[in-house]
Amino acid sequence: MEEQLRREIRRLRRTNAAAIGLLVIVTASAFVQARAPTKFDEIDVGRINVREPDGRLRLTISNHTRLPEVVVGGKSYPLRGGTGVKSAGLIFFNDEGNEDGGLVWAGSHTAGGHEASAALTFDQFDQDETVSIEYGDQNGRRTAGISVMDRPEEPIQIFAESAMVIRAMPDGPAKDDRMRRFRASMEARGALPAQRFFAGKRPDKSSTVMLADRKGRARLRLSVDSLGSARIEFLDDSGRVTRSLTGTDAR
Amino acid sequence: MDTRLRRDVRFLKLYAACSTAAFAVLALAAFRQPKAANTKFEEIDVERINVVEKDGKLRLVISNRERSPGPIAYGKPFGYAGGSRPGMIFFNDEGSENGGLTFTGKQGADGKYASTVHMSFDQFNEDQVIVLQYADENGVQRKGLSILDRANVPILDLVKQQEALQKMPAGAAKDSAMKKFLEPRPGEPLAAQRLFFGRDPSKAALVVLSDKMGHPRLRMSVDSLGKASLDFLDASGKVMRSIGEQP
Repeated sequence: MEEQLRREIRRLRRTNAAAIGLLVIVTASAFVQARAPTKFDEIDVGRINVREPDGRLRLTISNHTRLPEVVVGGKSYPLRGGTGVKSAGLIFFNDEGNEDGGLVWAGSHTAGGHEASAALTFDQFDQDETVSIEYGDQNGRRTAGISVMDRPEEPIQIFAESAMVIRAMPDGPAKDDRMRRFRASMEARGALPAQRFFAGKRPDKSSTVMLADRKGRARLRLSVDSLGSARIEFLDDSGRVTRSLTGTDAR
Repeated sequence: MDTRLRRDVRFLKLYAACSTAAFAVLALAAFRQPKAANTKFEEIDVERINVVEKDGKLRLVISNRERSPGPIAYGKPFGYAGGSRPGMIFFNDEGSENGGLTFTGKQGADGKYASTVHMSFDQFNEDQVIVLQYADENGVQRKGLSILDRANVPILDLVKQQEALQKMPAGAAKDSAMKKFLEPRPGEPLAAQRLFFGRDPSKAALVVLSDKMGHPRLRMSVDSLGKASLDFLDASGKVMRSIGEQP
C-alpha cells in the first residue's frame, strides 16, 4: 500500500517536471517566434504604417477613412480632401517624416454622374507635387497624362499655415478678398507653381505634348485634335500661335 | 492519515490530468492561429513587409530605410548592402529584382538638402529601363520620365566582371581592362537613354529622342528664358536643322 502510494507520487513528480519543462520550451519558442518575421497568408487592414526604428513614418497604406493628414515641416494639417474626393492608397514620407509623394485612387457615382481619379505623385522637397502621372474624370470629361511642375523654393508650410487661416474664415466677401490677396502675394514673390511639361490627353479629346516656359505658359505644342488634325505650334508669351507646322505645309 | 494521503494523491492526479489537457489545448490553439484565412487589423505598425510566393520567394518588399534590401537576383543578395532604399522593391517570378518605388530626402546641418523620389521598371535580369524620377541636389533638379536601352548582358555577369576588375592591382592593365568593360558591346552600349520627357537642371522643359548609342537626335525644348525650338542633331551633337518660333 505504502509502496504503491510512493510510486504514484514519484510518477506525479515526473509528470509535473516534464510538463513544466514543456511549458518553458513552448513559452520560449513563442517569444523567439515573435522576433522572426510573423507570417500571415492574408491580412485585412484599415491602415499599415511603415515606420523607421525611431517611430518616424515612412509610408502609409490605407483606406480612405484612415488616410493620414498632410504632414509638412513636422506638423499635421487637415488640408486633404477639400474637394470631397474619397481617395485611398499610399502616402510616402521622406527621411524627415514629411510627405513627399503618393499613389492614390478614387471613384464613385455622384448625383450628376461620376467622379474618378488616380495619381502617382512625387513632391519637391518641402513642397508639393513636381512629377505626376494622373487620371482625372468628371462625368466623362477626362484628363490623363504625365506632368512636370516647377514649384517655388519656399517651404510649403508658409502656404499651409495661410490656407488653414483662410479655411477657418466664414464664407463671404471677406474670405474671398483674403483669398485674392493671398494669391496676389504668392504671384508677386514668384511662389506660384508652373506646369512645364504635359504629355497626354485633354478633356477636348486632343492628345498633346506641351512644353511651357517658367511661368507655365505653353510655348511649344504638338497635338492631334479630336478631328485627327495634327500640328506643331510655337506660341508667344501671350498664348498667340506664332508658327504652325502641319502635314500639308509645303517645305 | 493514510486515507488523507490517498485523497491528496487522487486530487493531484486529477489536477495533473486537467492541467496537462488544458495546456495541450492551449498550445495547439496557439500554433493553429496563424493558419486562419484572414487576419484582421484596424491599423498596424511595421518596419518591413515581405510579400512572398508559396515557396517563400520574395515578390515585394515594403520597408523603411533601415530594413530595405540591397539588390537580389535569384533570391541571393549581390552588389551593395541594403539600408538605402526605403519604399517598395518588386521581384519577378524567379525572385530577381525587377523594379521599385523609393523615396528619400533630408536636409543636412549645413542647410543643404538632397531628395529623390523614384519609380523604375527593370529589363529582365538587368537594370532600370523605364524611370519616373524627381532628383534634387539643393535646388538643382532633374525630373521626368526616361526610357533606356540596356545591353543584353545579365546584371549578375556585369557585377562579377566589375568586382574582378576592382580587385586588379592599379596600373595600365587595370586601366585598359576597365576601359574595355565600359566600351559598347558589339553595337550596343551598356546603357543608352532613348527618351527623356521633363525638365533638366538648366530649367529647360524637354522632349529628347536619342539613337541607340544614346546620342540625342531630335530635341524639343523651351529653355529657362522661354525660347522654344525643335532641333535635329547629328551623332556628335551638332544641330543640323533647327525650327524656331519664326520661319
